[in-house]
Amino acid sequence: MSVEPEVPIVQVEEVRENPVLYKIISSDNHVFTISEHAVKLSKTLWDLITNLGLTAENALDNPIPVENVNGKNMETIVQFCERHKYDEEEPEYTNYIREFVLPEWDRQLLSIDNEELFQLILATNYLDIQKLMDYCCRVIGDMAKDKTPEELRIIYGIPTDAEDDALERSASDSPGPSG
Amino acid sequence: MRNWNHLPAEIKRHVVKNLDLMSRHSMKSTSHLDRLIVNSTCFKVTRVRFGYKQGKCLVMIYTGIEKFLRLEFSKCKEGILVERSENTWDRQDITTKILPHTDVLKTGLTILKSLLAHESIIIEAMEWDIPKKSQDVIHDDLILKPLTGSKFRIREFVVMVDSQSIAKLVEKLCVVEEVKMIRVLGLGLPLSFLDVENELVPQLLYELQKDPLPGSNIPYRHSLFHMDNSPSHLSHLQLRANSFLSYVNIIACHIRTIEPSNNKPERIENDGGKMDWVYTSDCGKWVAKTTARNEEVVKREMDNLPRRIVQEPFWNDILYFYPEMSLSEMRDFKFWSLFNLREKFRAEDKSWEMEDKETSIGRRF
Repeated sequence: MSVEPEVPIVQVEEVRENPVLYKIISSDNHVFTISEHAVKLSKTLWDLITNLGLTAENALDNPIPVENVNGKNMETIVQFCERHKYDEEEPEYTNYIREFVLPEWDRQLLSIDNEELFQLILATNYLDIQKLMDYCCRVIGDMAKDKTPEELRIIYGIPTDAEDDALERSASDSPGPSG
Repeated sequence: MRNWNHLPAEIKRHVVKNLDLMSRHSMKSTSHLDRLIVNSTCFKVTRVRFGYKQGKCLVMIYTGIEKFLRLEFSKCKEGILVERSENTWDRQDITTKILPHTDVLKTGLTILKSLLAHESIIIEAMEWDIPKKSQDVIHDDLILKPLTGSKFRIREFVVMVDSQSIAKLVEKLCVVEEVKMIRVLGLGLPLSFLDVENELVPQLLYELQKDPLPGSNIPYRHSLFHMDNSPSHLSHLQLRANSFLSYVNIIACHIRTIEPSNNKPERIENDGGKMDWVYTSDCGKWVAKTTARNEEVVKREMDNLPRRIVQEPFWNDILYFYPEMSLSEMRDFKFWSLFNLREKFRAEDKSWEMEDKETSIGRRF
């Protein structure tokens, strides 16, 4: 499979010792290059690569289409995976209770508007990237700090029960697909 | 447009896991569906304190080291004054609210129930601090009625040394099958001079195994903290480092050392099935002595109870006297330091009351 890129390829910024590279195509045909260590953070992509039998020799000739994720989200995801590809696992033992603190770099990366963040979290869920999921959920959780229920409804776009019922009624009243 | 409602329930639960207690409480009130999501997501609370004394009520919820929500309720002219603070002891950061006239104890318990009495909330340790004198004026029903049968999921039921009779309510307050321990906490002040400003670090903790309460099979222990591990004190308590385990009912003894700290805990086996567990806490390096049979007892984080007597001068009924000592002995051991400290607390209490009266009208949430 070979797809001509319509937009410039996003290059991997940080390269250590000749990594194997893979190409990913987003739903809007943006093409991204990602290293093997980084792509392993996505369980979905790594399973796909393994099942397709992609190797160092044929990886760049066989871009992987990801139809559920647009270019903007994919760019954030690739940046995140490249940044965290060499992260070590947290040591199991610690003598103190340590609170999880979102690193500043990641906080900056995830400083996007709410709609984008909700889109990103759905993309992250689809690609099964545990660490990014944890970080996104932390950012969304932090938005709730010191907020009243009314403020939360506005920030998260949560309808009241009455609004929800009205939406459901209008959905059931509207004609369904014929057939 | 993507928003919260587009997220699958599993992701919502993942977000809810990141909420603090009050955000979680707010989220429950946004919609019926979100209430179900929150209620199906487990939340662990490290420690909760509930106190009632002289018409004041304390609800304190810890979610980490120095991370807490503190609510104190007291009567004032306009109704019930609620003083709220979060993660700080600075009185300037306290916000206040006036609730309509009602009973202080009832209000405190109702709020405790609404925040924490749910099957999704697991409390590692819940402390009850209702001193004997306060228990004399309140009936058990006054504690149980506001809870309307709701029970807390508690791993460790803790009572202050002067609140021990509350332990008899454990079956009515908790899901009793989940209670792993009933613990009595006490704090002994040094027998000599106490430098309140600089030396608020426990020096010694010993744990005593007691018989379970009548009709109960929940392990029952006393954890007695001391701020003095001087040879004379150790001698008095018959707790010389090498022979303490033969002392009646003592199953573990933690002694603070002045050696350099070592972050990695170390297990040292000694003769006769005894062992040392060497570890470091915020207070410094500790050697915990126990027998191999009771090893699990010593593998717990050390609380710093002495700091409470300065942070919480009103809620100081954790202090206890050494029962073996006569009055003349107390004098000999310069117990005047304890007397002076109590006087200091009394003075602070008075100034608090004055401050409350003066500011209760002006301050609001």
